[in-house]
Amino acid sequence: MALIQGKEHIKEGSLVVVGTGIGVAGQMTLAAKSYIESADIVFMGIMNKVGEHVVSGLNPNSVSLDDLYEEGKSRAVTYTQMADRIVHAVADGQKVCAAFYGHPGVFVTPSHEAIRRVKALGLEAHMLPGVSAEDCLIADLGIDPSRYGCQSYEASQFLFRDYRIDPYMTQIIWQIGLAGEATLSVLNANHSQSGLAMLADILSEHYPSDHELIIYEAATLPICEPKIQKVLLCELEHAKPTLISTLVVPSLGMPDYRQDRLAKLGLTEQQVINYRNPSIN
Amino acid sequence: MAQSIVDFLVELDTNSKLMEAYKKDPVGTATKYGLPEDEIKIIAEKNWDELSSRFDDTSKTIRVINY
Repeated sequence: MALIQGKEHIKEGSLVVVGTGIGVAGQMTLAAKSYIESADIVFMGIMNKVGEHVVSGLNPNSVSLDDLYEEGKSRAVTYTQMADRIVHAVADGQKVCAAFYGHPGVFVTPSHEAIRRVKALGLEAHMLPGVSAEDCLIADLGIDPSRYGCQSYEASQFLFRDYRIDPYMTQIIWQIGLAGEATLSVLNANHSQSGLAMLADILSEHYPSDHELIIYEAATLPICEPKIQKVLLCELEHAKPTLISTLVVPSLGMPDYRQDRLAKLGLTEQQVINYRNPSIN
Repeated sequence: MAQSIVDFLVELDTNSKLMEAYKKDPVGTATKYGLPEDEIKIIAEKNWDELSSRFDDTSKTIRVINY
């Protein structure tokens, strides 16, 4: 509590959630860097010691959230505890920055939860975008998600629920190293065999068995290359993914034109083709 | 005095000229930077698994529950 011009001024806490990128330093935005530097406290969910070193160098009052992980403990509990730490610091009146690797809002439960809870307290909270693993994948594999359209989803969620695959779209399937793992209590990729086999079965309904897939891992360290492993669909169930493996299933190509929709728009297939390929002369 | 490989990695990730030099001559660039011999050996042998195991903790990468 501070006195400003004779009035009691209670310092209000606030939260900004930033991403540090997949790399150790180069993908951090200038804005993220500035918020890290000016925070009273920084909570880090970075998983990379070099990245933690960078953040700690920008703000010495940086503490890791990763000590909350434990083998055998539900990650649902871990994520609630991460959000608890962040929210309590904000409620105590601190200017808090939570820095997660990648994009802080992509595949990150505690960041969204902390923002929701801080806002519910009537306090300021917002998120800045960051460079996600999907951004690295697009750059490393040369895939434009708009080329065929794209379906992007988490492996277990897809297996557990009644989703549909459109094989004409690129499929990006995340966390295949935990495919079918429901307990949330393992911190390794040794339990994905049956989930991968089921995923392969489902994909086989839409793609030929010799369809070439990609198992991808972004590089976190600047001197390492991304891991890009090509496997045939018929080999997928024997793959050995890690916790950072992502499966990319290339599109079967463009689907046919919908003549009925074109007609309703007063167009023909030939017109659309001509518009799309104008002659230079 | 030997420089830290942590600082080298940060510098490589944020300094395009150093990265270009490294791509042309990894061991020479690491040596010139001042890395100790054991760390230059990792680079010479391209022992990225050793490097990753030293700095990455992939058991702590998962941060989401969706299903």
